[in-house]
Amino acid sequence: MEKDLTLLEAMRAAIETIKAQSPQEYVDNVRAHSNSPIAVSIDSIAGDYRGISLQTETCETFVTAQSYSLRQDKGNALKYFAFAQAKCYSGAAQMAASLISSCSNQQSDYASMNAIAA
Amino acid sequence: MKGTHGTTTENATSIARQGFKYTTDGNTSRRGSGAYFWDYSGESGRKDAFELAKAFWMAQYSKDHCSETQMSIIDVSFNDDIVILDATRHEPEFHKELCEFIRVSEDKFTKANGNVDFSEVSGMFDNFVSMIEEAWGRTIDALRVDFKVSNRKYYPARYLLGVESPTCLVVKTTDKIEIGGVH
Repeated sequence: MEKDLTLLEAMRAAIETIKAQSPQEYVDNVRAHSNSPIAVSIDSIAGDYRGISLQTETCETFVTAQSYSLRQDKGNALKYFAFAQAKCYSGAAQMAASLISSCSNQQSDYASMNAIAA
Repeated sequence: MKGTHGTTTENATSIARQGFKYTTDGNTSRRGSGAYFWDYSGESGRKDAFELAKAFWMAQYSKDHCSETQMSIIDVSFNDDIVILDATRHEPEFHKELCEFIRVSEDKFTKANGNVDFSEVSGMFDNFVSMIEEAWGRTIDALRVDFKVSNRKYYPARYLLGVESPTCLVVKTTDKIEIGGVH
């Protein structure tokens, strides 16, 4: 039923409703809409930014892995390597495997790093 | 009002036959399955909209070794009664509220999760539109948003230099779209 609000007022009312929700309630509502039409389109047009953001995050994680390698802390290096690898940037993962190998003076390739990380 | 949408020639053939459909079954990649358009009016706007459809598609898919010869541009028009929530910079009051909405959402996500998970944020817009519809008592068919050009290789310089800012129309009610032709 049409209500007595302008679109702008309705937008403000929606924001006030969000403010009144608990963080978890809000996140749950957002998740429930994750496959809805506007979400699908926003996902498509935002793909580029997400890729860039993900790539940045992945690179930062690899830098952390490399830093642990330099300190000969292979356990932590592998932990961060596995985390970054889960982000699916195989090219960057190969680079990191090579860095970790060279830093820890151990022969390693991408496949064997995968096996260890798994 | 009219618009363009770039896609693979194969998809364009399917869209021309069946119309725009959302893929929400979770089994198919969601990327590229939305109904988003470079809307325009007038002949100069049409040229820009074609240019944007091509640039966007190339920026998105060239890394998958797709070439321009594999793409088509679908020309569409929108029903006159389409209800659009224009939250671009061209509508400052609405844009201000959209920014406030993003700020509040980010705050909620941070409090709930400790960070903002990019895989979840797209649902924010649908949730927001639903809440506005509830408060307003009417259906919103589409959302117009500013589009940030991120790949310098394919877009005309005027977009990269900030001389012009492209906007994108995200259409929720696909039966408001009429397909004109495939180019």
